[in-house]
Amino acid sequence: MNLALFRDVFAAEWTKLRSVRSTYWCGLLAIVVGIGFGAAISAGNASEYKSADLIDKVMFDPTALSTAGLFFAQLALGVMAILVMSSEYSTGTIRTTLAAVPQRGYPLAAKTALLALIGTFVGVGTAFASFFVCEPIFKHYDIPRDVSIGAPHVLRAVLGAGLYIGVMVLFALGLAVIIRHTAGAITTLVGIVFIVPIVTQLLPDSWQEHFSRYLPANAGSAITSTVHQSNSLPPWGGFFVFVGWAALSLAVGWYLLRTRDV
Amino acid sequence: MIEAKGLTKRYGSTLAVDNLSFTIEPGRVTGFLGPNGAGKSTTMRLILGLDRPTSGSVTVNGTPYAKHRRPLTEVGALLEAKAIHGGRSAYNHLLAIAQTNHIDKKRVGEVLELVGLSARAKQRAGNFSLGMGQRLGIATALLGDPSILILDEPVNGLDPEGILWIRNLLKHAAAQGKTVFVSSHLMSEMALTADHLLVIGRGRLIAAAATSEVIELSSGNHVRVRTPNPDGLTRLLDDKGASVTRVESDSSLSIHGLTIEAIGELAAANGVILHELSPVQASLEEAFMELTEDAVEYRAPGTAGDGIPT
Repeated sequence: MNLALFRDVFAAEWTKLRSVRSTYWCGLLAIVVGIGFGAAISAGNASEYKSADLIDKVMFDPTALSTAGLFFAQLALGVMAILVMSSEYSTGTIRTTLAAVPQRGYPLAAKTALLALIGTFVGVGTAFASFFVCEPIFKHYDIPRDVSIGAPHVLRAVLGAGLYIGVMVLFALGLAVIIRHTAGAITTLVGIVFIVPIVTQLLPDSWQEHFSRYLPANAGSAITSTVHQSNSLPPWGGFFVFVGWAALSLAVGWYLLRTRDV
Repeated sequence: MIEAKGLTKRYGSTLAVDNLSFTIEPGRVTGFLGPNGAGKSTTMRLILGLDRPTSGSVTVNGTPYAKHRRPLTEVGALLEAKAIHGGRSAYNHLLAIAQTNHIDKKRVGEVLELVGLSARAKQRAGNFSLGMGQRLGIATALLGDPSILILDEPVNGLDPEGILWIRNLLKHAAAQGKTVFVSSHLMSEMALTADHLLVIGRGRLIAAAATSEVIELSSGNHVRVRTPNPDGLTRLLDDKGASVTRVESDSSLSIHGLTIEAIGELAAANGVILHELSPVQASLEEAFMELTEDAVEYRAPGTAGDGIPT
């Protein structure tokens, strides 16, 4: 690893990212959707709490609801990450990039570091902002829970929801390196994050236990709950399975980038 | 200096580049000619390490491209016009490329000035015309002030003033001792710009020779004669083994296989009156068509001109 080269390539990738509008649109959309949907979902669930079944009351998780908007925000930041790579292919600048830096791992490493920083920063910031916006909502509806950042597991869950976004953008970046097309990569991301978990819910319970909870989004979102769900992985265990998915996605992308003609 | 040895690239069942060996010398403009699909762009991508050769190797300044730590200071390349994100400004596009090779920010302004894009440097490049895209591509190639320039069809989309500008730029770079390797399908342009030619067809080397030599060896070169006694002269020329064609439009004779001096002396010795005796030189275009029409039949020649039929 040549640190001086990495610094140069990182500076270049930062120039590229900050000089296109899509970066700002995706970032803004993620924050607005993250907080807005979080508040709406929290308000909706909190207002129905009193009329809920006992089981729903036991499983009621204000923290997870307050950061639920990030489940949708991840798509906006995932698209940002995909565009960072796929736009190089659609415009032909990938050849300029790789001619300037023939050590092909470096541009990918720089993109990875940059997106990890931005994804984590925006994700954690949005998660905490969303939590503090939603906290008074639950108080307003007199939910009999300690809804504060100091309550058991709450800090871990809110922070985890932000970290989840940081990992998700890397998973998306890896997909874009592998697929090389904007639409194809976005479709694949939506499929893996939104469609596959729904489809697997149709499978028998025994399958879910062995399969569904290891899926990227299911494993990664375990950390956002303060109430343990029987069919999900433990919080940090699930998070590291998700990190593994992102690492796999990037590793396959890295291998292909190194070996493919451009 | 660019050196290729046995360079071969196969895509599936297609042999795009077939055992190419050549040396591109510094200090002159080398034109890269070939029909569409001959493998010119593939060869350029192989030089830049963007595509991996199936076999063979190619080096720039003695080292494979990918081994250079700051390659843009060795080789500047223009592969395709308008390879830029439409939402990014020309300035930021060049700045990012400069940063990768630790090239001073100041140089970005310099190359923008050099290609005449300073006034549009901060605008989104999506609105650029093809010609402006080419100028930006050339600015990219010049960024690291490299000793080797590789340009794929640089005059595409340029207006006459732009074409003249490129021609002067390339000649100036060669005069400074740089290696200039430029592909084009515009033969007339190559005839004016290139000192040396590399001609390929179906991935194989057809000729590597000085531009003037390629034109000289073309069978399009002939002698034009007008005489009041065409039948008599034709008989005399036939006896000497020349091939004579009657041009019906102006009843002149087109003669291959004898020098202009020999024809004049033959006519004088036999008392044949000549109204015109003039050399006709083939255009590079004719020479090129002749070279490439049966590209696949020719073996790659070891020396200049071997593959040229006469």
